Amino acid sequence: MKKRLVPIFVLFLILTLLCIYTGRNHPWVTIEECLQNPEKYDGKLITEYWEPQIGKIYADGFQLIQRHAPSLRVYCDTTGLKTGEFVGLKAYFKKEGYLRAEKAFVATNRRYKIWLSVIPVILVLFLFFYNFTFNPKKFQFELRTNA
Amino acid sequence: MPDLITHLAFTHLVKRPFELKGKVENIFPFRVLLYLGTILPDILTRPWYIIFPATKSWTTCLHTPFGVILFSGLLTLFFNPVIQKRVFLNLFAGGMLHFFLDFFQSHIIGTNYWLFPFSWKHVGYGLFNPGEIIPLIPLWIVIILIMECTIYGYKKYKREKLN
Repeated sequence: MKKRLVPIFVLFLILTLLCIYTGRNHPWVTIEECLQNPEKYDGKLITEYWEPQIGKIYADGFQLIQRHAPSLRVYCDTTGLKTGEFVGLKAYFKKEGYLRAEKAFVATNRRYKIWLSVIPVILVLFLFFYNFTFNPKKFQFELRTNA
Repeated sequence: MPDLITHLAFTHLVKRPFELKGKVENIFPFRVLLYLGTILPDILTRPWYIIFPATKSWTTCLHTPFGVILFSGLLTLFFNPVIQKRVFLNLFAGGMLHFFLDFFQSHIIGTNYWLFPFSWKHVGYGLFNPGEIIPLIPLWIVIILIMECTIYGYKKYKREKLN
């Protein structure tokens, strides 16, 4: 175990640093960043949304609802949009505090995708613990002899 | 990303034909690690940002080949040294099959950062929308069943021929 401590620590440290690097140097622009500095981000393409959903639909657009993030008015063609659905967006921020979308469409089956993806996770974890056992003394996974 | 059932089915379909020889008890546990590898990029990132969306900016590196290689290495260190090589190779191969399938997914704005940490360039060929292949899941299951029956028949034929 002692031999493994150093590589475990090193890899953990590298992964942590990579996460910090990604958080600070990512290329995408979020709505929060735009709202904090509207002049700077005027006309910028927004590439990341936090679980965006369609709120109230208007004749010329809709209210964008995000989880743990500000709600915003989006101006676009509303054909095919439906309140409560997840939305795929390609939109530009305007300094007045709204988005002008070039493309807006319902993210088909996103809810099903999330819930269906839980099944393989449970299955794989079950198969994993069926085939491997954790030896706390050696602090390692070992093949189960009866698997 | 396509759903994880599609990822798992794809990995199974790729791997299974290579397992016609050898004992099941020697093969199956490592195939499970291949499955784990194939869902690893998504389980390291998706749950966090579905629950806490702001974490996406921090965890995206774990959904890149470089991040998965490092994480597979870290995970491997928690296994018996005797099997570590096979563990790593299966986790790694599973991860790469995941990225291979993601390559064909269509995006509004790309999210396949294969060249991370050297570049944020998106690499991909938008062939299908992940939401649109959900109805095809029963088809993957039928294909797997047909393949499993074929392999079972083939092995039975081989055994009988030997006897």
